[in-house]
Parts: sequence; C-alpha cells; structure tokens
Amino acid sequence: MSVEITNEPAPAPRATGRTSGRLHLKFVKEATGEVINEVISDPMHENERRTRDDAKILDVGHGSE
Amino acid sequence: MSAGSGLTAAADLSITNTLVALASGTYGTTGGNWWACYTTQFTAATKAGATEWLAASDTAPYARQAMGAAGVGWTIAAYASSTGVVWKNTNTLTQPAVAGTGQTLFACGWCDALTSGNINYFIDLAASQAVNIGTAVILTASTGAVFTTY
Repeated sequence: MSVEITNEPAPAPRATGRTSGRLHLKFVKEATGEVINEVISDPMHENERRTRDDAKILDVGHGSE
Repeated sequence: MSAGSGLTAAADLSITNTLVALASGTYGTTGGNWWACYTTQFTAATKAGATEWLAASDTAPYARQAMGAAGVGWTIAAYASSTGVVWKNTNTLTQPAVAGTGQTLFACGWCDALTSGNINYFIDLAASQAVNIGTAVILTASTGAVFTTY
C-alpha cells in the first residue's frame, strides 16, 4: 500500500538554514571627519531576543496566579 | 513590521532554482556587487520592496558603491560547526556625503549591478536614521556588514 503525502506544510523558518546579517554603520561629517552617529543592527538576534523576552513575560504571568 | 536581514525573497527563489538545476528562473552572476542605501526596510516578513536613495532627486551625488569584482570585496570563512559560513566586507566603503536634501537610512542592500539589476541580500536597521547634508555613511572594514549562512 502506498501512502501519498499531499499538502504537507513547509517547515517554518528557523535560526539555522538561512542567511542573516549584522550591520555596523558610522555617520561621519565630511568636512571634519567627526563621527556624529554610529548604529549597529542585528535584526535576527534582536527578533530572537524579543521572542525570548515575550516568553519570559508569559512565564511570569503563569507563576503569579 | 520587524527588521530583517539575509537574502531577499527573490534571491531565495532563484538560488533554490539554481541548486535543483531548474531550466529557468535560476540565479545568474553578473561579476560584481554593489552596496546601496534605502529609506525603507525590506522587513523580516516580505524581504523585498525597499525604496533606494535617488541621486537624481534628493541625495546627489548618491551612487551604489562597488564591493569589488568577482566577490573580492568580501572575506569569506570556510564553514565551521555551530557557526556556519561567515562573510564580511573586506574594505572600508564610504557613500558620498549627502549634498542635495537630507536623507534617511532604514536599510542597506547589495545589488548585482551599478544601476537597476537585482537586490540579492540586505540588512535592515531597527530605526530610521537621519543623514543630513554633509554627512557620509561608512561601512567599516571587516565589521561593517557581517553575514552568516548556516
């Protein structure tokens, strides 16, 4: 007997199996060379951290009842 | 909309098509890649649709900056367990100082042509940054843009 698999949902994106990036930019005043702003962006890890923080908040809610 | 990074949605598809040797819709290299600035995010959800700065209107003399032909602008480490493949810009790159009208920066992307072409990978900023007249955006060597494929 054969089993046909149809409409199998695709796996959800995970931390692995993808490309992610971190950006570190400096904003410099051309006339003086002064660094007036510096920005670091690490979207994937920031999103993961936010998810973990949300989970902690939920945990606190369970424990406080 | 949350910030995203990595391959654009179009690159995800074309690279997959290439890996499975599909007859059409595969990724075609152009021999180089260029760093571009955007006023909007690509976002984690759509990974597409960001609005690039325009030299013709408000950010003269904006132009995409060449990373170098044949991938030489990137330092690529061999795959390592629990790390993956890490690739980062080799040299410092500087966008021309904004000279037209003040601009905002919300994402950086890398394209396969000096003008037009395809946007292959990107990194969003968490918040839009003002770039005033006389200010140049700099991608510092080795730390400016660091990607991990894992």
